[in-house]
Amino acid sequence: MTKNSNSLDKNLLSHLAFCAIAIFIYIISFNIAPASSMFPRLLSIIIFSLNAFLIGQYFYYFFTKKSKEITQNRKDYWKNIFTLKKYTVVPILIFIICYLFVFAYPRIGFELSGFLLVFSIMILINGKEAIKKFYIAILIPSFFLLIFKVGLKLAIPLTIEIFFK
Amino acid sequence: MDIIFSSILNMFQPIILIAMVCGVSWGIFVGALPGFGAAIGIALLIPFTYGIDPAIALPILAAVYTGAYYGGGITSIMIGVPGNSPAAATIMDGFPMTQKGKSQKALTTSLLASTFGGIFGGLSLLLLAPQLVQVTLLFGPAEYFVLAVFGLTIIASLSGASIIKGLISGIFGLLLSTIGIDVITGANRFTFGEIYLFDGIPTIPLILGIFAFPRCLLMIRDIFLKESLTLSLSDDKGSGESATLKEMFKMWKTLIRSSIIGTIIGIIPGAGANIACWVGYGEARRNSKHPEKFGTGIPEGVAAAEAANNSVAGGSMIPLLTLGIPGNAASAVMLGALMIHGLVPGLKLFTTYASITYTYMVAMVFSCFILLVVGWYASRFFAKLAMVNFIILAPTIIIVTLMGSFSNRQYVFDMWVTLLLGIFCYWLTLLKYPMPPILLGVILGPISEKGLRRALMISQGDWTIFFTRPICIILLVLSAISVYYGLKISKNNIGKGIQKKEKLKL
Repeated sequence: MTKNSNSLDKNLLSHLAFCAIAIFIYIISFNIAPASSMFPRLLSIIIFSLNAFLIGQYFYYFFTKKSKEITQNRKDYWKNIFTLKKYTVVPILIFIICYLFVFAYPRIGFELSGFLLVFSIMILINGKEAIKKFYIAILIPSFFLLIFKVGLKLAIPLTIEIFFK
Repeated sequence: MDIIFSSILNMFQPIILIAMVCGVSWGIFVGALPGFGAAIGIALLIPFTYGIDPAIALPILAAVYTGAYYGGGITSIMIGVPGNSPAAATIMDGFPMTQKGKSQKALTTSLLASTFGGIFGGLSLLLLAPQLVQVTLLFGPAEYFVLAVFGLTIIASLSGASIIKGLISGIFGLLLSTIGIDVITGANRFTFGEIYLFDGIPTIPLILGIFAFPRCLLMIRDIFLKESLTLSLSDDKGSGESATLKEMFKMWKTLIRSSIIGTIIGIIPGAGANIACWVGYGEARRNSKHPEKFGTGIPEGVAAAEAANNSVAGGSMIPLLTLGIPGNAASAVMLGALMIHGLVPGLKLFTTYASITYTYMVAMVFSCFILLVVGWYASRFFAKLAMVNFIILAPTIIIVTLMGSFSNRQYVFDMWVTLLLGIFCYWLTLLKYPMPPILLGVILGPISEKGLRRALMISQGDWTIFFTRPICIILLVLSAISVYYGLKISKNNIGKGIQKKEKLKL
């Protein structure tokens, strides 16, 4: 039951998110011509129904006798979810770094943004080793610059061009 | 026949040979990396092959596909951790062989069996696909819609722990496919005025966002969960004997049996190599004169599992190329790659685009010979390469993912698509939502929507059209069966999960 209760708690948010997406699509599909909106509207109804079923299942577990046995586990789960653990925080920080990379890439060029991206990910994974192997943060973007710019001839914004021309 | 011969001759062009050696090497490497595999290997390579002539690009992708299935077995044998799930059964006898100091024999047995299985599967593809594609002549709009429903239910039922989550993933994929301009009415749907979305969500950023980016975040998460930056190889330096052809001939029954099993399971949409390796292994054990020796480290166990999982590669291409139904995550990504190169599964592949299609199918066979050469000399090197420090691997994959999504249309917008889809799919992966149905939903979306709308136009809005045509009925029954078995599997998975938890408590 422990596994069931915890996974149900974890999944509730995703079911609610999918329901919200389905409702949003259903509502804005009224602005589209009927022939074009029929398919997405049908899909939004199905996705809403499936998630509503799973939410119903969640509350069924919540209000049955079994819930008494699992209440403590659920409390522990919600307590733990707000305790920051490295393995949950680091992937989110890496996402933020990637977000900053995409934002900076056209503004400061690939060499600099690429170096910052690689180096900051290395630091997040293992700070000491990252400093020892900082040259890798220069080598990786340089290697890909060669492939993308010279090999595939992509229009990549270059730091040299942005700052020194 | 001429087209097959010209395709074979094409394979000897130096550029294609070099490209396939690179493809096989990349495939073995990603296959050997625990948690990666053919799907991510192909996804990461698509941006690099996009601009290349399909006659060269598709053999590279076929080579990656073949290489990855073998690569998974290397880490199973060397460290007892399967590179990917199709290599799980290889551990049973592969790792005990390494512990006995016979890793070289295990690796070469695995290689020879993989080559045999791969060639068997590839030849089955060449023989059966042109015959099966004739069935599509019987398909009208209603059949195409129901076929899409069947494809989605089958992949949803077999690709995750819960079929309902699989279906939600698939329908979410279908919803994503509706973004963009409606090709029938020209109406603008869910683009919010963003011109970059008028053509729909771009395929390469989508594939990278669904498969590569979440995988990378999961890899980083695992580093902190396991507190280990690298995996370590066993002490066996591999100075022992290699497997000989004579020894392999002695196992001919096992090799043929496993290859047939693998090919048939590959043809069944949704089943895939994860099942084939265990069925192949189980059958070899059942038919052996010494079943008690299985699991103690015998070459026959390695050969049975490897021949089965490699023959799936060819088998799974049969429903993919003819009906557009992928058997597993790797073939779903391959379907995306084919469509990026303008190849839409169905009869046209075997008529209008026959030369490219046959080149691809011949490449599936030819890449096995390349695998034999590359694997024979470099398996141990790839095993060492797979032990690469994650501090180098993680940022490399992230930069390839982000720049790869930029490479196709060269819009920064596409990088945002990868990033946003990536974080959403990472969250969904943590909650055990399967990813292949999302991709399949996006790919099958336009086909199913067109089929649905045209069928309703023909029947003047009468929905019974889907329940009165014979092929539709067959496909709907098959869909119902797959949902039923999916629910059964879901129940079993929950049961097993609870049992495991209780055992841990004890």
